[in-house]
Amino acid sequence: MKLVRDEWHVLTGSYVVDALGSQEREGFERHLHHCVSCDAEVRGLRETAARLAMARSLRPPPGLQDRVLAATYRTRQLPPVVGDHPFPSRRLAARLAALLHRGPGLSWAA
Amino acid sequence: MLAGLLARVARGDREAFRRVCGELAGPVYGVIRQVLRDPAQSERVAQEALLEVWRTAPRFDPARGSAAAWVLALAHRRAVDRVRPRNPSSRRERRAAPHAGTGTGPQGAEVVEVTLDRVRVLRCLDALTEVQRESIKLAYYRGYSGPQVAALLGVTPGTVPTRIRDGLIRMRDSLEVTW
Repeated sequence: MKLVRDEWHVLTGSYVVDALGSQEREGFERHLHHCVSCDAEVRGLRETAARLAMARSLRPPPGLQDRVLAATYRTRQLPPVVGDHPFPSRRLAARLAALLHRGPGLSWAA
Repeated sequence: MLAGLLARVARGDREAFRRVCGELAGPVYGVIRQVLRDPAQSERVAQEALLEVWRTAPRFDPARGSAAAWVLALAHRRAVDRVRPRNPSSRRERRAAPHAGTGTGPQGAEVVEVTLDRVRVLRCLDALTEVQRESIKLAYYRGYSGPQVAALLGVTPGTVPTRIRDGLIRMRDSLEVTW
């Protein structure tokens, strides 16, 4: 979706209450990556929406938490995100390999 | 405190997860039940949402918001995804649209005690303009999309995002929510 900056900005509230359609939602999330002011507003409004949820808190059905805990034993957790480049990076490895090949006295091919 | 617990959950700590569930199962189930209405379905979706918290805890970033807001956003999204399938044909969307709630509400015993915070939040909601309040309630508590909200309120679809945003900003400011 192509919208100008102000048109995205008005969607912060709709985004946190999940009122956007799936295409709009994806477009908005892409916009969030490079719009500091929308990102900041979304954080505050998300905290506000959480208060709306807490105001509707109900006693959970008996056994719900036990069933969830039991399910953790058969559910693998996602790994943490550790940045785009694995270490050692492929580029670094390639550079090291090139150095080793070229460097005099470092050749293992003797 | 919850953020610290989630950091332990990320490392596979089940005792920490039990405490997170103890804190948040009530609001998670409550908000899902608001949207879905059906107690049995709500229970299933709440279980899935809490298990998703376990699964994705390593991706929680405490610099980006509170743990409660992260968990409740995840739970709300899951409930809404149930009533609003991705890229629906209009007929499917009609069939799957959330019903406007003629069913019985939560029974008295299920309602967690009336806290000061609950009263404060609902009072803030009441203080909004009618269109702001109804837009937020239909979207957040009923799971309606922007265009569905506009149709129910008889307003132009383009005005709904502004109403929701203005209303939430007013609530944020009067509840002194910071992040």
